Amino acid sequence: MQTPSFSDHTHIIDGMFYHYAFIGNGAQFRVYAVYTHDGRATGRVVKIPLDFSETRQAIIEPLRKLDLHSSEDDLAESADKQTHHIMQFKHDMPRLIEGVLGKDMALQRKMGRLKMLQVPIPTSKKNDTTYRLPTLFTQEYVITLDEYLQQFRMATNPYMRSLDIHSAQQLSDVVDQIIALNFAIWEYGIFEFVFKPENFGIRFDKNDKPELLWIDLAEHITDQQKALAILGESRWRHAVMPQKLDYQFMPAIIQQYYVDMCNKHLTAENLQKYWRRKSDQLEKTHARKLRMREIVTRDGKKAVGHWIARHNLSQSLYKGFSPAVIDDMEFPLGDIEKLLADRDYLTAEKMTSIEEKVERAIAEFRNNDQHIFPIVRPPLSYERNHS
Amino acid sequence: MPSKQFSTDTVLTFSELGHGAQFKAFDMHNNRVLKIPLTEAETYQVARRRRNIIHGTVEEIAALDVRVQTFMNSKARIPSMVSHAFTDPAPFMKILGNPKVELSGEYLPDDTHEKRWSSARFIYTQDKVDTAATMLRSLERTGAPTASDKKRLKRYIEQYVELIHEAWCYGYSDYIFKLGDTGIDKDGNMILIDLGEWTADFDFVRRAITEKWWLDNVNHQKNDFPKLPKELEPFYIKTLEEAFTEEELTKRWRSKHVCTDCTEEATTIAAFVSTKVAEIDYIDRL
Repeated sequence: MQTPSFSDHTHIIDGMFYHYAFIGNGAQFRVYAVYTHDGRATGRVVKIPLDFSETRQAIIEPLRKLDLHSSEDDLAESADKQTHHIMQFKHDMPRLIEGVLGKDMALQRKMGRLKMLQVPIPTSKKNDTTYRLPTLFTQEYVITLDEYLQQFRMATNPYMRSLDIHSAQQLSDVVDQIIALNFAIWEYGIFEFVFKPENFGIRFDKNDKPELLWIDLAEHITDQQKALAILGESRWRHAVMPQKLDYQFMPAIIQQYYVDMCNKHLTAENLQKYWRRKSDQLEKTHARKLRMREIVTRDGKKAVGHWIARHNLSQSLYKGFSPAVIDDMEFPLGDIEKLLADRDYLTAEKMTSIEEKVERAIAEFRNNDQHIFPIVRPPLSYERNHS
Repeated sequence: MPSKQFSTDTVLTFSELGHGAQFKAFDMHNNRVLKIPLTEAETYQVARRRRNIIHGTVEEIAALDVRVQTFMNSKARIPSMVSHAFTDPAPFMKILGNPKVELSGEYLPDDTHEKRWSSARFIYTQDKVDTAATMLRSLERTGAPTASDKKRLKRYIEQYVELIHEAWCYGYSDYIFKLGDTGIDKDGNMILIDLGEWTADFDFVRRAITEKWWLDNVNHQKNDFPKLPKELEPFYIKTLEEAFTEEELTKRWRSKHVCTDCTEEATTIAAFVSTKVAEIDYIDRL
């Protein structure tokens, strides 16, 4: 089991059976690694949904940095609007583990065996007759792609870092898997539309072969026309655009390969080719079975029932949760309440990569056709730790 | 206080199936569906989308307000219909998908300016079905229906007529006649799933029949109705013209209505009240 380690400064919540180590948050969830009470890694994380104000807080600073707003009011309005969108997308998460998607073991492996957890929580200690039912998720604990890519920062500068053949091969393999993961979800008519490198996680087998996973697939759509429009604007380029401060910046060493591969594969033609390929196949298989039942039954009422069921497959095949996608870690209610109430994570230490900033700055200078002199020297690890 | 039909001992996982103008439907994964009423603001959004008005004229916006109130008021009639004291409620309840209404106010918070349920302060559960709406959209997607599809759809329309006739026998009728709001349960029974637009007012149903409101299923101007394939339109019109007549209505109306609720006094009061509220429904049809 490859469970990343955490530092002494990690924000930890002590529960009844488990310890929960805060490992980060996006705009939708706070993520905690789950450890047993005696400190053993369970290999899973629990994802706690952010409420409206937390989500707004998570996005407002990145929005401000983008500098697209004429006034504070304009920024506030934009933040509210975007928060609504994000909250909406979060509601679509269960779709990824429902029906035939939940039963596709290969797909579920690619999503880090995402599982859902809904536990009724009393709304107050005094009143045990009213409840709320937050939707939590658990998932395998892997390192983020961003964390993995840190080792390749500044590798374009031979004085800073050099890549061995194995690492270079591994890096190109990772990019190939980004493409493959997109194809895998297109086959179910799902399109991830933000193309953020930080939405992926990575783990390695015993031969050190990387396996990429979707660790955050919340921002997805199912409308093919919208998907085509997004592909048309090459949104995946945001990860190599230095001014896109709301995206992790791809290490310079891999950018050209990433751009070439995306240009070659994330195309309208491929979207048409892969779109709903598995879904159509599954619907056809199930339709054939229902058609057979419709033909062989002598009961006219049942025949109509099978016929209408056949014409409902586009809905019914994608509904329902199998036990495999319902979390069975049996988190105590008190632990869940603590996790939901946690706001101390806001003060937890946020790791920032100075090398990423430097690479972004270099790219920006280059885009503006400016020369960089003197060469920006990233601080040594000693300096970083004491800055 | 009536006992609640849900228990926190059983953890259920719900997933949204969709919504109309009155309720959001959630799959309870036990062959039942949970329906939660839309707030007034949500209803307004749906009504606006259906009329496709974003920046309407004053008249259009006023009409929208009326429509929203109609949606809100008509769904408020569901509890009384479902709890009507039939001596044997089972056959009528089966037509409606065995609805169970939870009137306990504990599930919905008090109305606020942003979230207002007004008189429709209840949730209910109902048998889960494969819907005709999805079937009609599927046929629309695939283009021309096959011979087998036509045969089944004709049988479906006939079953629909039989079911409406059966409902009339209990003194109730759907007055929107949206074919898409029907479905087939796991046992192959047809069910009328939208309980939000029903009435016990004979005169009102007679008007709906006389004015052939059921033609909305083949009216291509009505974009909130999933449409029958064109090839089936003549069959649908002919079948319903023969079946949905004043004579057929009168012959069946309340013929199986045996209950302990309808005393003479109660019937008189109910008739008076329904006359007064009927204007809401008339406005809905304008």
